[in-house]
Amino acid sequence: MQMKYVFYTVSLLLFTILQPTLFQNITFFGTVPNLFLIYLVCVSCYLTKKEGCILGFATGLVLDLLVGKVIGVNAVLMMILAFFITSFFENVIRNNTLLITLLLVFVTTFFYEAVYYIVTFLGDLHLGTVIVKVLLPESLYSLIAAIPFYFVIKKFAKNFLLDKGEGLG
Amino acid sequence: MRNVFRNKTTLWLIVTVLILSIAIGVLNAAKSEVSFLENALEVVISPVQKAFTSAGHGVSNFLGYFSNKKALEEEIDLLKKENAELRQHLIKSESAYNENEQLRKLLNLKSNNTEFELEAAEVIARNPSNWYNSLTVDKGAADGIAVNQTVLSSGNTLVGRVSEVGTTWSRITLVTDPGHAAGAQISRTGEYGVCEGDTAGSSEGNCRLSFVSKNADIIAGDTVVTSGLGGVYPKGLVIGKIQKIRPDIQGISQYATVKPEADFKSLNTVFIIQNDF
Repeated sequence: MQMKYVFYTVSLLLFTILQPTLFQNITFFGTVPNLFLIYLVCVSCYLTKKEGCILGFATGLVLDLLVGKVIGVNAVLMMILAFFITSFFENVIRNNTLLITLLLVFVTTFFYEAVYYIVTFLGDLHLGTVIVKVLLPESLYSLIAAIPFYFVIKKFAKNFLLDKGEGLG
Repeated sequence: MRNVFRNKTTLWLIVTVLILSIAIGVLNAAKSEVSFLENALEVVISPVQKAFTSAGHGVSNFLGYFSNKKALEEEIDLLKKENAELRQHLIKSESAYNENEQLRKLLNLKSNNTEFELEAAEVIARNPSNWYNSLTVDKGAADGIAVNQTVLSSGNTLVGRVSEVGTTWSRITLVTDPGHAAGAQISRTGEYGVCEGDTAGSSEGNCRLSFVSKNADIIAGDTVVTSGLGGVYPKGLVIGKIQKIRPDIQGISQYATVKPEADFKSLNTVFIIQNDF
């Protein structure tokens, strides 16, 4: 088995444990960062579109199982998100930097959670309050939490994720 | 970005999975049973989650001790005073209870006091998203836990209800979850309402008392208890205290923000009511 698949599996298992436990004690204005989403954004620049879609779907599915509500919403949203991010890195910007990753994490977290909220709570729209109390603090928290993610994934990418001749990071 | 949709295979893959996921979602929303995949994942990871949650509590308690030392000392003084007052009340209550029992016997009335059979469970994880408020505990179907059983905190205040049951774990939907609703009553006046979670208030740990009559006499600080209507919760369990009162948009009723009595963030152990009431 290729090392990168071991890396993806171990990473997902780690977030499955950390997100509902340790990170629930470290809140920012009552919100917690979405580690799965940060991971997906940080790792997507090293993936092809196909790999991104599969990893996005798997990541979303694990999150769906942990949330315990409707299975499939996170899986589909994360798959679509991974598709757009991998396309962005393939077609628009080929040199990934810390600044680009952090901006992407902030923007994707904001819009991802907004879309998730609208899709899931169709009859309960308090978008203004939700933007101030959930979306902005969570996006900002995710941006800060993404800094160590960026460096750790970059280090792992050199060893496991990139094939010879590739060099996005 | 023009090249994004050139690969038709990828586009078809997205459309297919989208349709499949929506279908799975609709099917899942309709049934209340835990899927095999969900149960398997939780059974495997719950022992590890338990260890990490304990570690998280340890760290936050340790840090909290230093940052809140003065506040804790003041709280201890306050609790000592409250304890002395409660002891006085207890003595009076015991005497009133004995008198009540004797009078009931004389009048041949049946006691309406229900003793709960409680099963203690340890919190091993919390809902990972910012949208839902639920807890995962270390007791499941193997321990006699069933869906819709009432969950209390150590102070006998309402925490929520069991919403999913796995083999060795259960998920508890908290009173602040947007999908939760309970028949409620203002203990001072007896006014009825529905206590429900909402997305706007759940980030602050509050829930909402809706459908309260426009002319109902409610004030900030009133205690909200379960009404027993709806058949899920027993009557008289403390939910929380009224914080703010506002008129409804339509102007035909009013609603209030309720601060739950149970402190969900520091909740380590919960008690699940096992018997019928």
